[in-house]
Amino acid sequence: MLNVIIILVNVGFAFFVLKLVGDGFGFLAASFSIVLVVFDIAFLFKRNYPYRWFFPAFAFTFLLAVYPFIYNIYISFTNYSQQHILTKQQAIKRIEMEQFLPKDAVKYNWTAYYSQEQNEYCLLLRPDDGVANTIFACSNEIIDLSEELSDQIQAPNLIAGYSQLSKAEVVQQSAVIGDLTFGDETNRVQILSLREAGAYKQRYTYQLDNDTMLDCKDGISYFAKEGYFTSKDGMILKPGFKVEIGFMNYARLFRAESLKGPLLSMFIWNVLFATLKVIAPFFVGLLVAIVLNNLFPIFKRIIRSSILLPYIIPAFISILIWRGLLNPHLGLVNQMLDFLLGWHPSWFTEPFWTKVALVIISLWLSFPYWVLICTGALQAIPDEVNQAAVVDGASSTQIFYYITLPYILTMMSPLLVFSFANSFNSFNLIYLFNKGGPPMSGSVIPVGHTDILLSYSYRMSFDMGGGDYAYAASITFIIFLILTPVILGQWNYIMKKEEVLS
Amino acid sequence: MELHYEERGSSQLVPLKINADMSNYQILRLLRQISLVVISVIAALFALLPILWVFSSSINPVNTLSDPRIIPQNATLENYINLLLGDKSNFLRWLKNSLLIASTTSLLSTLITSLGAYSLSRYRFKGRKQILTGCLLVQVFPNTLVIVALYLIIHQIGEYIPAAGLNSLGGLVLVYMGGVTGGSMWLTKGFFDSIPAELDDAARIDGASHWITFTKVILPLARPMLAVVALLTFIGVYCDFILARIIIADQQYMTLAVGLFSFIDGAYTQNWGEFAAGALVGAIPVIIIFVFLQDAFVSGITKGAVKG
Repeated sequence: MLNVIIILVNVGFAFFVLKLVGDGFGFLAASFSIVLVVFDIAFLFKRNYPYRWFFPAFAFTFLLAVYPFIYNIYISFTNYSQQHILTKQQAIKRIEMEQFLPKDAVKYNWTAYYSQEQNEYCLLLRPDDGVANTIFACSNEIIDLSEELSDQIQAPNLIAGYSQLSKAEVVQQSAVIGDLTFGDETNRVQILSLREAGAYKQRYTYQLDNDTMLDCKDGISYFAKEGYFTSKDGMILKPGFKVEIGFMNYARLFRAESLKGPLLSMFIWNVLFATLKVIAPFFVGLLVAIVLNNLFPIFKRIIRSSILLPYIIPAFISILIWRGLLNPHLGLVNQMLDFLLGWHPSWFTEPFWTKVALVIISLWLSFPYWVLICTGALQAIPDEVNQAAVVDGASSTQIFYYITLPYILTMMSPLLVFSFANSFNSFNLIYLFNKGGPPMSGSVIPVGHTDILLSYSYRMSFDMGGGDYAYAASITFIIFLILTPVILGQWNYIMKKEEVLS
Repeated sequence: MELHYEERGSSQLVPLKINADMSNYQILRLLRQISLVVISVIAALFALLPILWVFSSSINPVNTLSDPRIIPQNATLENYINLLLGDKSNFLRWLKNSLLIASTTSLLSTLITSLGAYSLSRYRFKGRKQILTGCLLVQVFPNTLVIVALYLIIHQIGEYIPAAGLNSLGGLVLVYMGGVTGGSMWLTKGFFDSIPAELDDAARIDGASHWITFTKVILPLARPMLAVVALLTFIGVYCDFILARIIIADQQYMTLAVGLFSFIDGAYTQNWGEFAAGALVGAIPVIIIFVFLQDAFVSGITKGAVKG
């Protein structure tokens, strides 16, 4: 039983991998092969029993967590984009499908048919030399009628619901019919005159020996160059394909003019926002936790549960709610500010106020979390220390500055640093609130004032007019490099703390 | 003479010095208590107002974002009815997609993870430490950083298996499966470690195979803990926006996060009341889970913070 499964899995995977290789997805094929090898190692040998349990988890994690990291780096060195989304093999297949009507085309005699219901013309085609090989070609399919009509010289009046057009009708509609092509992808036909129709031929053929596309129509060769088949005079064949282009994406990212202007300010904002998004909620949370700690119990419980509410509402919903609250025309906040101050900021169009709004929202989103954490941390401060300070006559302010704060900061600093790594990529907040806007006018790259690196990468690859995948991948790789020290620090910390490795 | 106590921490009472100038001290204490109350009330209002306000607009018949009353005039459930039963509304479909994707992912990943975690917890084999380290390493690098690669991989897979490609629920589940397994492995393994190995041994002596031991002894015992892992995964998937946004393009396959965003991003003010209703209904699954897991959540967070 197990053997049958092993064989089936191997055959299935091998088949899929071969197909992937054929279409030029070398990387994906390689990673599937690795999964297959691991499968075989685990299941073919009895002593590898423990690994079998692990296989499904390994397959998913490897294919969709480890491989994407490697692939992302690879992509950043290619020209992968909307115009270059196919592999070379796929592009060749696509280009070779193109057909043209050669001068020396195979000729047919034709009779036209028309169906009112389908509003479609079809041709009954017979070779010049007789009635054998009769075919019936419609706009997208070909029916072989050689056998049915082999003894009939006269074309029938009705075929499959299509009725024959009279001579007069043909002449009348010849302009329309003349523009149409008939048949399927491999066999396409167009009428040449009132009597004759010609068969299309494949236009481009790929020459393996010198890696070129040969145009059979006018004999021009197209060389593979920078993701397109390009002729000597610079004409290109579409679609393009994906090639490695070295550090071009990085060069583009760090181009002098974009680096000086928008990119640098985007980076500064990214760091600033990530810091504020951690620091502001932390201090507010700490304050509230201390206050709650000193409050009488009943009141404390009520306040605490109402503060928890933002924490349990999914963030994507809260951010959208805030978008409504700050709505320039109808939002509650602006109405209240108008009433109190007679003025309100433009939360969505002025860069400064958009940033302020983002900080307020992140404060709202995460201060409950810090209240919870700091409450726990406050309880972890030994009571003797506080009591000793009281006995020594320290005021509550002094206790806060010299005991509570140092204690809390030492305990929290790892957590604060890790939160920074997360908030560095707060895509949801930036994008859901204002899509990175307001847009920077006159910038050399399309970027908004509140864009962070990740939302910029998203903008380049997935927003309207995007599709610049390779460039976007190079940006995310840069983020990865920036965050690696933080993440590795976090990793070391956890490895030291956890004793699960035993 | 009365003895004065000051509250300290949760329960401890510290005797205060008793001096002559008592009234001054009492005023100071009162002021301090008042300021504490004021600060905490402000914090609570800051936390609550947006939610109260959404509730108020969801039952407001007039399509407005700024009615200052919490219960508006002519309060009605019209928005909810339109949202849930309206012909043009996709809300129920989005909610269904979200619930479907989140529960599929959480069930599948919990199953797969518990298999691996059983092996990691019960066997000692070469490479075990490396596998554990690997799980953690995968977990600390956020997969939002490889959205482009994930998009293209799903695109490529979709050319062969459309049901697991772009713009399909299957493709989205695949992406999530890759993201959650590493972290849950660690957690589940810890849970399994807490189940005494003597139970396994007893089963083995009775002639049970590894598989039987796993399904008949370990899984039933670990069910409450596995439920926690599954629910945490559920919340993570339910709340995701960015991955669902890049994989899904069609209205009919959208998850709640993507759907609500398209709702508010497009016809903004026209639909405000319905959006508010949708926001509240959409939050319900997570709130329910939170109520179930409250203790696990709160104690887990505080433990994690204080440790060391």
